[in-house]
Amino acid sequence: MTKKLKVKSPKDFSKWFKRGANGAITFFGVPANTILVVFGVILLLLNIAPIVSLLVKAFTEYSTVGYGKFTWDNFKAIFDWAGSDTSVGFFWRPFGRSLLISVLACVFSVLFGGLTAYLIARTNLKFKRFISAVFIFPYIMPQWTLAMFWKNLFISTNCTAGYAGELQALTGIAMPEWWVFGMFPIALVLGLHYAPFAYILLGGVLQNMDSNLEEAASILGIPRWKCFFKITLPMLKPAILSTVLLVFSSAMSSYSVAVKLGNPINYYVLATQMQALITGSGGMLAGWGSVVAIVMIVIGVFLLILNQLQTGSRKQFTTVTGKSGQISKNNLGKAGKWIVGIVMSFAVAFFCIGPMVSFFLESLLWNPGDFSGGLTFRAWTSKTPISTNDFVGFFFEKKVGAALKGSIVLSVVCALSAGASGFLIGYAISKKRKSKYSGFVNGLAFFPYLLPSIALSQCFYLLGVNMGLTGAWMLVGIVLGTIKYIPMASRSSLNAMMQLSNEIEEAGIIQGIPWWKRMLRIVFPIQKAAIISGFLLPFISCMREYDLFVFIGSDQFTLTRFMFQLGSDGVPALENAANFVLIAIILLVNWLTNLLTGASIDKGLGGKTNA
Amino acid sequence: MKKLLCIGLVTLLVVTALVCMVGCGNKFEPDPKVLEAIKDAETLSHDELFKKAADELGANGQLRILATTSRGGKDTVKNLFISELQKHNSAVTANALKYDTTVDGQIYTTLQGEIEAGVQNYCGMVTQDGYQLQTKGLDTGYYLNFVPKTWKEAQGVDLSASDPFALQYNFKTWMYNNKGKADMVIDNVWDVTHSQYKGKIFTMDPRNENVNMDWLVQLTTDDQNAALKEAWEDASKTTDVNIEDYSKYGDKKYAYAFIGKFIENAVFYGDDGEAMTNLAKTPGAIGWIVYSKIMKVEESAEISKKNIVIAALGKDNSKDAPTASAIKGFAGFMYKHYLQVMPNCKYPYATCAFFELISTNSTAYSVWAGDPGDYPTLPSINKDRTQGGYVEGVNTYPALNDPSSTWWINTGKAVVENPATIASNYKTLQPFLLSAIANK
Repeated sequence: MTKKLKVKSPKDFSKWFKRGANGAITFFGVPANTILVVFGVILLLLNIAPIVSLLVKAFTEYSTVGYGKFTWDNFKAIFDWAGSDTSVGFFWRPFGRSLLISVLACVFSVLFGGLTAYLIARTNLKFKRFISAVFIFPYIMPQWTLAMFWKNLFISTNCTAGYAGELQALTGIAMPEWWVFGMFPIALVLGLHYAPFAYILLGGVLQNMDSNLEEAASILGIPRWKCFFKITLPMLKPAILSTVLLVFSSAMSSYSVAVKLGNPINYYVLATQMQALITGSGGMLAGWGSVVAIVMIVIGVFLLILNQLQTGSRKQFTTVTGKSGQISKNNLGKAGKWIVGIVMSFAVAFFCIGPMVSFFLESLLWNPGDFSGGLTFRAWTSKTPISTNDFVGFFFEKKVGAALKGSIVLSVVCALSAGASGFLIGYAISKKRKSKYSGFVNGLAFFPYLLPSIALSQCFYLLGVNMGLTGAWMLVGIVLGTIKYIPMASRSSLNAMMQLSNEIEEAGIIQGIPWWKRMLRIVFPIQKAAIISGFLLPFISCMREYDLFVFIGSDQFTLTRFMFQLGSDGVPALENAANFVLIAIILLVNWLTNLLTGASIDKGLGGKTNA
Repeated sequence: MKKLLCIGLVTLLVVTALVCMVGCGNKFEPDPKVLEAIKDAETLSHDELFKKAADELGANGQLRILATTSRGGKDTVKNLFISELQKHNSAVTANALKYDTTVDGQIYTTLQGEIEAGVQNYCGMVTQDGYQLQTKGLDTGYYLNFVPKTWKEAQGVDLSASDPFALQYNFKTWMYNNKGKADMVIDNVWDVTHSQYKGKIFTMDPRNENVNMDWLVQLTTDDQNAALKEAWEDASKTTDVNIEDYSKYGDKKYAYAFIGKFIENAVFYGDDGEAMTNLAKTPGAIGWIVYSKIMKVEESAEISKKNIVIAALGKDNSKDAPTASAIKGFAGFMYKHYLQVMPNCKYPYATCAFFELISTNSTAYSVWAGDPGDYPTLPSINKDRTQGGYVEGVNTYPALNDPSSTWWINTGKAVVENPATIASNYKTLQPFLLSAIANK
């Protein structure tokens, strides 16, 4: 422990300064320290800005110029169900729905993902490669694409504002409203979208799980079901909890699925209600929306703490890392492995490839969902206007090209900046894992994940406007994308770095190899796949992002923004063509990256799917 | 020491963030040069104005317009604007105009932010929503009005559209899909409040689309309340709305009852295009939708514009518009697209020239003129669409035979947007409306 020096004279001050300077040089001479300090400051600033923005709005009256007076009215309007006749409709009811949907989504995702992971990792199922490759598609696709697919397929004349959808048109079967709109389909679609989380996290554990315990139980004559519930399931508990917390927090803040499958029957959840309050009524209700956003953040923080308590310790590693090399596979039987394989393949293909087929078909129709007019390629190839807005076919429409370019530039830059930042943060945290400051930076790096994208978008939009950056929206978008996607990249990097022994780098230090060279020549090559996955995840997320950039720039800022404009301009065929291309690009990039580097998004999330 | 450092750092960051939130730029002050240029521009002929605009832009200038409608960004307008400028200064490049589009709310926030931060970026706006225009632009003195000389001196212009200056009227109206329902008739606005139409009124959420909100606010004015009362008396035998449930609103009970029941029956869509698409697919449904969206319906065996009836025009609408509206109450909502100059504009003459071109030149206006429900404030550039539904001389699509804006206003008794009225009544209606939406 260093002795404190009392400053009494200039000489003392000089000593104090020298000691401080030397301490600083020593401290910052360690790259991990410099990284933590630099990112600590940047992340703190970028995290504080949206929080301050929300708090200011939540505690002030609406004003057309500047900020209004301090008030509690926004909280009263949202929480006081006895005194305000809007609080139930605008908060409590959507809040209850969001909770219910999130719980159901967790159930669906763990069921679908867990079952698939179990069949892939622990049985002799047929078509594993196909199922494994395709199962992550719903996560890669924008959330609303699956919702649109569901609606297009099942909407019927039994629904409010309903018409004959694809199923009814083909078979005459009219599905009931609860199947098409509301709680069940929203939860199911979210469950399917997040099932890859469960698949990846549970699959990783199942694949590496020591099967000696199960074999011992089997030798002792314990029934297979009992073995599953008493041995396998308890070993999966940490991974299931991680999945549940991840899915729950994501489902709570999910917006676009509820818009498609809830709004048509006035079924609002917390995220859609928040969006309507923040963006609607000329900004007059932004204070109410900010209160809802704060509630969502508080829930997110609570879940984060729960997650830290459950998985923050090293327990998870001791549970799953003991690789025995004796992974026993349950035999589904000669016919069973084929039957189950075929059923699984069909189910996976339906949910994972079905949307792409649906979008392509919709791009060939004159009116959405209406096959009676025949098929046409005009939305793809027409050089003449296909709508009164003068839009031509996809391949010749300049605005589509500009929006696609915007998406690609934004995604690439965000992936590079978030990926590199996440890599450095992950590295620094792993090196200083016992320091409190590293825990602080770790929390800061993850915090943006808890901030609702729409609230974050509005805050950065206002910051951009106030700072005079209205001519540089791409810059604002890049900063916003980077901060939002750092959690993904830093988690991916941290997982990889935690597995890396310090001795490896120490060998380089003894040899006098500079830090950057050690990183490039030692650390990166060893954990190449996981680190590249840390770049791939932000790229994919950014390409399919809508909510986060909803306020940034013009309607052609990204392809997803432009797709929504096409929808509102009444050019659904072109919108579907753009949607198809967007998904195709994401899949292509994922596949190419996997082919060239061995990285894929599942590795970024900490699992291995190629069982 | 470390603790002090941490506290200092956090305080510094919070203060920095707060400063950024409040705005780092200078306080707004109208640029006298812009005011002077607008005053001058209002006295100039087309050629004189374009000469000044071309000199102002020169070889490197770029005029930036922010708009809610993508049409002004079409090549037809851009090419014409550039060629008119190049007649006076060949140095002007093809990049002299940048036309960005986004949603209403963002337009106002973006422009307000730029003005307050003293940023010279967008020079002009083309936008709708009288409420935000009034409260965020006119009451604050941020937006500057420019009326082209050529427009003001033209015959037949409606001078009420000059302050704030409007490019065009747009129209929202009642329409319904009567495919297989020959006996379906909507001849009174109170019909849409009947419980049989619950979940069958397709429109946009007034919270998301302020134009819809503006219309509802306008309904609470004395004139519109009286019109609703008159229609109510006509519909009293068929309606199942108990008007006395709204007696606490006094004389305005008709307006509040109509609004409450309309909200109760409505299905909210994200945009009018989507509402129109679904209306075309749903026989028996009613739409409160922007008229021009009808053009988005493509013909097929199952879906056709033939199935859409514009309530005020009736099923048998022809090139000779009906002598009386086929719906009692009001035929629709006539709102406007406004043109305003920014007070810190770098190219005021070019902005005025652009506004002059799109509001007085028929070629430039043609990008808006094709669809029913869009009417220029300068009648001479209006495109006659009274036979829009005729195919080879046969009245094939009655819904497309669009009478003039004067027919809608005078015969159809359309509600006409008035930004000042809306701004003064907005907060009175809002609690009722929010309650109605919350308890849907």
